[in-house]
Amino acid sequence: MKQLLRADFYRLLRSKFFYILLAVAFGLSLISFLLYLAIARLAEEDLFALLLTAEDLQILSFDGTVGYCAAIAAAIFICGDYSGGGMRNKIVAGCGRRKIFYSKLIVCSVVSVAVYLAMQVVVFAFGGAAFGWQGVSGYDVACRFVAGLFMSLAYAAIFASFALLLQKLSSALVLGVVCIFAVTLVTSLLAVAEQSLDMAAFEWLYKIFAHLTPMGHNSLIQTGAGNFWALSAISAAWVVLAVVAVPICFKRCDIR
Amino acid sequence: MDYVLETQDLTKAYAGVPVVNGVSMRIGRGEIYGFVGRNGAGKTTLMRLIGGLIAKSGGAFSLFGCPDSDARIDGVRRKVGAIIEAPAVYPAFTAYQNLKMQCLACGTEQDDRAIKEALDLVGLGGTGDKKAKNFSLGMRQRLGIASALVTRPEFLILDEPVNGLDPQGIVEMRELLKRLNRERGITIFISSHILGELAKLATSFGFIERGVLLKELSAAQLEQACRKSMILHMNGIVRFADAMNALRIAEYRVLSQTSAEVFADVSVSALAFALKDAGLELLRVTENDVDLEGYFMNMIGGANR
Repeated sequence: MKQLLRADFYRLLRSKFFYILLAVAFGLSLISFLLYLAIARLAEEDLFALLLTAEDLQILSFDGTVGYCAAIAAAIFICGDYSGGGMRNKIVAGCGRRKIFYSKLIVCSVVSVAVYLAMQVVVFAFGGAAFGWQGVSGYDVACRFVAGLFMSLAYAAIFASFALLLQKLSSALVLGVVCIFAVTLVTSLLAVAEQSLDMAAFEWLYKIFAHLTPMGHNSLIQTGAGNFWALSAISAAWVVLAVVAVPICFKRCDIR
Repeated sequence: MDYVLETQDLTKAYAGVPVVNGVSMRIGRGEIYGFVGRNGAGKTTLMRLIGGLIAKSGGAFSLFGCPDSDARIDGVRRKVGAIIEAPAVYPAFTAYQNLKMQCLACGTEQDDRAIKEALDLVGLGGTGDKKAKNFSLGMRQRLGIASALVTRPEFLILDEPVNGLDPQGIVEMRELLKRLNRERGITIFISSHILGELAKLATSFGFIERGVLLKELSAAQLEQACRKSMILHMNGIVRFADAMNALRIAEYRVLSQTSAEVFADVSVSALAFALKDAGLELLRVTENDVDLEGYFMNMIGGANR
């Protein structure tokens, strides 16, 4: 396991896509910050501008970017190993399928968390300096940060599993991106339906989608409707599910 | 004999159709086992089964005496190096980085010298910072072999390793594999479509067709089966042995009442005179010169009938 991790990190740290993803996440976060800053400057005398804090920027950062980056990273990193033949070599050389998955999962988690942190750097460093934290609950900020951290791990677990089992870059990429997009869309539609139609069925469906999927957590965090600790626990459950179930499926998988 | 690989009724079926059908074979330690078969005969599937890349549908196999169902099989696989289907190459990495990756993954703490030695062994020592994506097919093949060798395996599984190599590369590869077998005692399980090459390399052979292992034989047995002979057609056979004794030919066999096969380098005229002296008339002579390819084609022809 240690050896596999060393090999995977050796590859990750020499891969351009990792640095590109970090730069994209940082860049997008920076653009959000600059837009926010511009709005604040334009509405200088407005009460709205005076109320802006770095917490708003933190809430805004839960926009699904981490999910997309995690899906892309998992697809490129894991399926690249299949297409290059590295996965075949590792299995033939007796590295063990379970260990191979855990190693990939850890690496994808690190990428996902790194992307998340790249975005949070902008929130805390730039946002903190520009808008300050006046009147903001430190506990809430910390809880939201931790929920985001767990959400990043859940994304990594889900998309690493997809990539490992699908084996093909295009399939893993398309499924990952479509999955995020579809769940986000369905959650939003259910939220609208729940508010406008006021039907219990929609409310329940919305709750299920929003609470049980990391993509749904974004909307709960942005609306402030979710319990951060519950969301963290659900994200952790996704990781546990992947850790337990994927090796069983992967064991029976024919390798391309 | 100490066997590196043994299979018993090993079977792999897709949607109920067997691709590898009840194969029982043995590869002894130190052997170079040439695996011969047409495209789609089941060679690669069998190698993939042994490599643990696909799950078997039936039967069993053991590697270094360890059954495939044993939990220790992964540990035993550490002694295996392989190129199955295509060489494992990370295109964005240099040859050195590719081997470094393999060493790290397998936990073999090879120093730089060992990696450079493996690269030199396959003739990629001078590739420097050139990325594998810019390698030719032959260079990739060599890199794949270096990658299989760098962890110092005891058993090499090579599926068409000379694909894409130029004629000189093929000869070099053959010499390299012979040297590895001789000097390091590495057992090699190799398939190739270039049967002439395989015949020069392997010490035993297995012939597979439609997933069924038709025959296994040693290089000596193959040589025996393929060696040059003459088939004599005569008007009788009664005093044929006298004629052979007169020519001091010990190796011959009677095929029918009017034909016999002679394994000797002797002129047709000498044969004709000797037979005449024995009261036989030589009607026709046919040369029998079968190589591995011919032997294989005859066998497949037999299997297809």
